[in-house]
Amino acid sequence: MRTVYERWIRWVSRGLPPDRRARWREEWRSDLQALEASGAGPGRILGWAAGLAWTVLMIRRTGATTMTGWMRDVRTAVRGFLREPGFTALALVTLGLGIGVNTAMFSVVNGVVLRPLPYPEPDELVSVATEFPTMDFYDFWVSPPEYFEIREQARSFDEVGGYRAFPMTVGGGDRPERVQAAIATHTLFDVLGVPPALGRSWTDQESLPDAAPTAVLSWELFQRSFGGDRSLVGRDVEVNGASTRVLGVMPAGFDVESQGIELWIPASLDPANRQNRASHYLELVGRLEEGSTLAAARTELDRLVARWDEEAGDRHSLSTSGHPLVVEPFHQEVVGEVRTALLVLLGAVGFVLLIACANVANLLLVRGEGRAREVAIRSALGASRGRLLRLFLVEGLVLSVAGALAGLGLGWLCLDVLRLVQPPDLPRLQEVGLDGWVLLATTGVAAAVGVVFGLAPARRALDRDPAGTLGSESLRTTDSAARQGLRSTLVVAEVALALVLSVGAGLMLRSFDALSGVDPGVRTESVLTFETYLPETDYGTPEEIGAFVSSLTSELEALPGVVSAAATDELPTRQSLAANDIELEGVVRQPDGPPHNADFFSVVTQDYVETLEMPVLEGRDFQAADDASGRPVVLVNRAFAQAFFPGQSAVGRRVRACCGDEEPWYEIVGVLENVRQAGLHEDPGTEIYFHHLQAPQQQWGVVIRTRGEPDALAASARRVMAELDPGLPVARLQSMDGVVGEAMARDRFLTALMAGFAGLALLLAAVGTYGVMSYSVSRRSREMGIRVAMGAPASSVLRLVMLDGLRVAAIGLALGLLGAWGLTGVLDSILFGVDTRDPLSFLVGPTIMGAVALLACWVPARRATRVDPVEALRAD
Amino acid sequence: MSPIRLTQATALVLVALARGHRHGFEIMEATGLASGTVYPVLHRLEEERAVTSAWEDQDEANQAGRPRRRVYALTPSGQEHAARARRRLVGARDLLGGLEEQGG
Repeated sequence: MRTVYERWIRWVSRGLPPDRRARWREEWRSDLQALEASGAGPGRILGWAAGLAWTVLMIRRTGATTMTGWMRDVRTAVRGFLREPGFTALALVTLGLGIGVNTAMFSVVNGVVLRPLPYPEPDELVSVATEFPTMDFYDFWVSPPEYFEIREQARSFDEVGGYRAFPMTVGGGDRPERVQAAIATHTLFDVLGVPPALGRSWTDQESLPDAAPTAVLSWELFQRSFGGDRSLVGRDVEVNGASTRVLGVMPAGFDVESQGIELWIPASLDPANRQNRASHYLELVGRLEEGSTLAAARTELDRLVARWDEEAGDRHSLSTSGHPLVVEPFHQEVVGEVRTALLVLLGAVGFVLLIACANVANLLLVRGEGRAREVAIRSALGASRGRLLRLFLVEGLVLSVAGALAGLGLGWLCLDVLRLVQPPDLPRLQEVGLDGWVLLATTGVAAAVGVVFGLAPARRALDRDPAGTLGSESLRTTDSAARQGLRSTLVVAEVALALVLSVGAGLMLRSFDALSGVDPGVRTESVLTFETYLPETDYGTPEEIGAFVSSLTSELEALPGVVSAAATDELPTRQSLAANDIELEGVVRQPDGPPHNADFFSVVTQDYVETLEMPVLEGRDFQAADDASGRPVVLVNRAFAQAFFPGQSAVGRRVRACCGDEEPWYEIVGVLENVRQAGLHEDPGTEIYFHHLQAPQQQWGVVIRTRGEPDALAASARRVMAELDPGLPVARLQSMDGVVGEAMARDRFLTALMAGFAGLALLLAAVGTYGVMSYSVSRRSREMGIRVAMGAPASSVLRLVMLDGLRVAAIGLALGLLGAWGLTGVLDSILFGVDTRDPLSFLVGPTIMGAVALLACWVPARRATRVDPVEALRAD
Repeated sequence: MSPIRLTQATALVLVALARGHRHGFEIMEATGLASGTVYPVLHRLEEERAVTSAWEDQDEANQAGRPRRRVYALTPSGQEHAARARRRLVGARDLLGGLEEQGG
């Protein structure tokens, strides 16, 4: 132990002027020995050692070795707080919680919403999307011909790039990996202003459809799967089974729209071929020409769209009313969806902080009352009003700085937990950290709180006439109306704020409940799923694909514990809108009817419908005869049947993909119940199911219905895949419940946070109400004593105190309800399936808050009834 | 006599020195004051020439088997301050006695 203190002496004495350092160092070493020799305990030695730091501070203040006013006030304040550990702990915990959750939440909002995107000159970046208002498609993709036209003709842009993310298989042999990848135009990296860290990206020639395959890797994939071997650049790797030349590696952390893209390949577009006007799939990013503005870009594009409309007049051509372009800041495109939710949460923690401040202010007020006598003595001894004011100010600042430190620690902890929880699709969370802005914001809040806290009790204490306080204070039976009033106002505010949060949390819980209640359309229990991809190099023909898929499902079904196995191109809730044009035999499109377009095309194996236990509403399921040589048949969902064949049977009608006579007609043989293909939030769209032997494709989501826990079969499923073809990836192996759970993850996360904040607010408001009521009862114990002595029954005393407290709470509840009524509108875009004025939330919130207030009043009121009149009257 | 600020702590340290406590550690023991109070006061008194200090003889320390200690002593002006401090502390004691009789 001794060496620790000696080191401390060495370290702390470095703060002394050099000419005095050696002397004090030696003296302290000597005194340390004497102290230890005297048998002093560890606590005393620690106290002595701590005093050395103070000594150094004092001696450093050359010339003036006494404390100046501020320093002395700090010391007085700290000592005062240490004398009242209960008060101090409560105030610090309250303040720490308030500031802590604010720090964490502000860090998230700052990192996710406020901070500029990690590209050079991010303000110049805009996203360009299309719309089809008649089909309710907003923020829709852009087709390749549209991309070329915008790129060639729009002068507002320095450059325009497009991309689209989807999974691909990287690496061959027995260790293929399924990664998030993207196709991109050769201009994308230029637009974003980020060149590859190693090598280069592809040229326009290398981006043509018949060019040799090339790729650019993310830094993360380069490190993880290729060990960061720089000689990889210029060599070939396998991508979806095809030998692909690695041109370069992007810098660490590079991504677009937080999609976790790890592999970039050319978009294979030919400017000379602009046929595919109906195929919208590109996300467009533009960089504004220097000196140009968002408004100018919008004006120019509007003008161009009007001209293109006149020239073409096709349904898929850009047109002002039917298919306009929308330009937004790219930042908004990236954070848009969560922006509102995060700002609401920031508002919520702001409320928590306000409640915490009100609580601490109340605590300080109560403490200030107790110090009326101290203040009177100080001013009688000649302390000026300025000195006293300063003391209170310093006390407030010391408390809030300590609270801010506690809060900063707590905030750090919260952020760690948050990153651990890793709420999916919360963009940019990995970029979040406690940074300078956060520190500044927290310190600002703390300082403001300090000034307010500091001065409120000071003014109150100074309003008094010292002689009066010393003389007759103790004889007063109750508090003055004004003092009582300020404390009550704070309680009213706390109750009101907590109620607003409770109603908000109630709404979000109701919304989450509604979302959980959404039927995905398939039975999700006891189903194991995984994704794989059959590369065209090995599985090029329908026969090869068909043979693999049927041996896969039969091998899986042979496993013990498996009821049945099937596959689809993309699993429910994970699909994105396809919006394919279709032709319906014998149906003429009505001007006010739906456009002939199906939201989803699904490809399934024969047992898919049965394996996921999807109800067949009409007609039949697929049969063995529906194979490549059979009559082309499809199933449709209920939404499809209702949209295109209202009031009649869809079974027996014929449909085909748009457009042209070479597409075969498919007969509708059955109608299935709707499935939420694009997630639980989205209404099920119109859908057509194809049999995989009649519409073969490469990408597969496998579903396995099991008798027991689906996860128990994970290893067996992997083994079956490895035995059939070790070169195929097994990706996202998880239960169907997990797949659907992912679709609710963000809502679950936001709801949990909101509920947590509301709980915290309730707790703090309860503590505040209880504290004020409790204090008020103790101040009125003399009055209670007199009442009891005069023969008032306990019930009347109870009623008196309760009514007092509940009146305050009722005002708070009323104001809170008004506030909630006005504020819940901001939740509109976040809530699912529940009205912002949901009666249940508006009933339950106040009930809980009322019950909490009742309890917080009842406990002190009970105590009031037990006042012993003799004691109460005798007490000072 | 220079006008030194006679705080409660300064008064106690002066009286302890007058009573023959000569080392920093001893003064803390005698007055019950913290190290963070005693050392700065000693420093200030030295600056104001109410106190002088010097190292004790190395041989003496060796004999006692411990490091040498810093020895503080009152200057003549320090002795006057100590007397003033003593009068004040006695007055304070009387005041406290009176308060205690009244029952606080």
